[in-house]
Amino acid sequence: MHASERASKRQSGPAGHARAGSRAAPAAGSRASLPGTAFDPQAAGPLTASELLDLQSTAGNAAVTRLVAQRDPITSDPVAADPAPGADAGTDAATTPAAPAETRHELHPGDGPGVDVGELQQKLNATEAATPPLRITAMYTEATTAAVLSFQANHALPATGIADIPTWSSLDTLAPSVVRNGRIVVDAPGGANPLGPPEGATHPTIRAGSRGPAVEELQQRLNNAPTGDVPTLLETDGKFGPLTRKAVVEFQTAHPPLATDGVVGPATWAKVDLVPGAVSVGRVEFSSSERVEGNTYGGDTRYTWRLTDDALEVTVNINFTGLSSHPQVAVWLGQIRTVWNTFKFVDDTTPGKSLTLRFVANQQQPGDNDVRVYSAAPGTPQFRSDSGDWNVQDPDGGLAPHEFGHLIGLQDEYRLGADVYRRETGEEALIGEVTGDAPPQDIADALWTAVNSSPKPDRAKKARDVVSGHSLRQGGFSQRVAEAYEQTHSGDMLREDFVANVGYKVVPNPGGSIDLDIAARLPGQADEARVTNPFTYTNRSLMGNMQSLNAPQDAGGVTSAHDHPVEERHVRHLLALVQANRPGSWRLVRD
Amino acid sequence: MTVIAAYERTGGAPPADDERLEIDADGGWRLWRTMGGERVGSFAGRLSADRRRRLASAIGGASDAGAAPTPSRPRPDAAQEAFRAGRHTLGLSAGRPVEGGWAALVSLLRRWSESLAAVAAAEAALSVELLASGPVLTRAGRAPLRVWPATLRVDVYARDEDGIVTGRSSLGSGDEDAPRGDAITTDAGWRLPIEGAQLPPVPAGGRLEAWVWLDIEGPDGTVTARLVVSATP
Repeated sequence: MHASERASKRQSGPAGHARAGSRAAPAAGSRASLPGTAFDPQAAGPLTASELLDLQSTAGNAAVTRLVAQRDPITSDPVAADPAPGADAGTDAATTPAAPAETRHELHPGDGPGVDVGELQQKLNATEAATPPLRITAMYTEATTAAVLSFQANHALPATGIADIPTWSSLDTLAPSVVRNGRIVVDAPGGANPLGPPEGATHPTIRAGSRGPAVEELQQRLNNAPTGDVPTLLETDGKFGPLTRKAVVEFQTAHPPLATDGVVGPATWAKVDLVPGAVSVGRVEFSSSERVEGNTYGGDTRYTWRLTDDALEVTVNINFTGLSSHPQVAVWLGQIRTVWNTFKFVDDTTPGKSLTLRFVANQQQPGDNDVRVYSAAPGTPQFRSDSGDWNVQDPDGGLAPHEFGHLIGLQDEYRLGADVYRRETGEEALIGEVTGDAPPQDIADALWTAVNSSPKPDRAKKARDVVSGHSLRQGGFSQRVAEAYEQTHSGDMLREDFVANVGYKVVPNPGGSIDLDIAARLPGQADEARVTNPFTYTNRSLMGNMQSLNAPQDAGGVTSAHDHPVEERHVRHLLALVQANRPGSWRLVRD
Repeated sequence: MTVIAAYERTGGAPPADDERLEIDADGGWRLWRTMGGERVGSFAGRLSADRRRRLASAIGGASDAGAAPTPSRPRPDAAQEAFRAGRHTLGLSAGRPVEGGWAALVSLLRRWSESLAAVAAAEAALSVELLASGPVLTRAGRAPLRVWPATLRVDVYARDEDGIVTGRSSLGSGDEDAPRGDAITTDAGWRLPIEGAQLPPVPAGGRLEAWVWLDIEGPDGTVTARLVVSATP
């Protein structure tokens, strides 16, 4: 049956303001005490910033996580009224304020290293007082002073260059610190971009004979086109028959210089996507790459989304190969459902109206992606799973949900350079370890010598000796080393680019970063992670080190809602689909 | 002594792999193993005559192949492997199949990186056994080994007869950026019973599996090591 009338154009509602959900209850159950930590998790009273910072610096982020979970000081709306631009704090109940202004004290040029200086740098970045963003060194450098002056000038504050109480107060208001997954973070301007940048088209090329949701999407969009452009009305059956081809040619004719060949490739899709009006289904396919540990990793994303009466469904059909009938496959699919189906969309214009965000992972052949199921014991070289190879002997409950994240286009959030980390997560780079055992320039020089030494095969070991000898870890001190390294050798920086059919190719990268440079100078692809790791950033989310899924609260396979391994940023892009195709004013909240 | 063959596997989703095997021209070998089964640490020994013959043949194949084949772009979360045969190297995404002249050497070194630790005397290593009260770490080898007790994390899983996890208990967080605390130097005979981890109930026909994570100091610095042991109650 042909559609009797054109689909009406649906008005997309304005982007909803983020709001807080209710705070999740902490996980129940007793916890064993940990060696090396000493704090009283049962102590009553609200958390203060100094408590958090002291605890973080002495007992570590894990202790902070547990303290936050057990004290659970937030009993009402935990989110500042006006979160920083791009902040996802408003929809994340795991986010708690971290630094009441009354605990601040003045900081001066030359101060540091200190966590509070690092936090100052994060906030100056978040308020765009520094261009380019400050490196989070936890040192009150000249650049930090300049950023403070800039901030003060832009906010009617006395231009002292000193982080005094009024300056702190203003910074804390505009860029509040929050505790997210056990770490104090500040949201960066511009928001998060956790999806891998598509390489080329984001739709499949379809033509006569094609079938499926991409064709259905095309038919719906062509039916939305003005009748002057596309007179033909289509049945939205997902079958690319003669009528659909006719409509495509009509559309192409109306949009020169598109080739009138009836084939819907990237150029035609680009025009079709601009046709106003709602659709209820879509097909997303793209390839992307990511920089982790200085190397380039790549993967393919393919999924179908469909708006139903009560949900936005995102479906990935996985073609499991190898041990595809192993019972662990069903366990993985259940873990994906449990971890990912934790959000819904709420329409602020209609009380009680909502749409569930439902991820569906099916075992199906042919699939959107192939995943090889195999069995390898711990200790074997094949044990580690990756996005396309899942090991049934891996007991980690985060494995399948993490790899599913890759299948829907998300990038890793571990061992990233500062700029990539900021762009992906929408958070300022972390403060981490702020002190070291030698002058940063000395360590930088030793590293440079190591990674340029002869013979080449020994470089990695020498570089590892430098990193381990100084116990370099992620954070402010290593960033001071990185700064010294990059300033001294700016013009000689290198990086590796992955070139199809060629492999890795070393290219000049003046003004580049230490992690990419070291990776390029170490021969082969192995042994780079340990050397570059201190100069990168890793978080605790599902796409980071999965710490949220592996914390003690996870005992028994139950993920604590408090930990929120799937961050709001990981699904935020799907809100746009609802806003574009359903009337109302939609926002995303935890379900 | 000249290293004639080497294997390294590093990186991947945290905690990263960190394994190394070097073999000298006289058959002497050194293995640094962190992502092990029941034993991790430093091991050394000398290849048997039969193994040396097989190695020589595999190196010959790789050398004849010359330049390494073009690697494919690795998938997210994969570790990286590097193989060395004389002056030639091959880098690839860990676990990927290799064909052609390098195949024999890749297969050999991957297997030896796993198996040599089981048969060799340890220089400085940790082993784990699973008792009714919980896992117990034990020192092996004569050289001292520094460990960081504050970094200890233990996950004990119950698995059914199909290997499916049916229960879990955990101790410690394993947070990578948490302070390591103070190191202690362990000597031969050192034992660390881990009694804080409650053992989950095991279904009929199933087994317990303990995963112990601990920062240790190896020849090239501090690294997170993983030991795994399973037992039937």
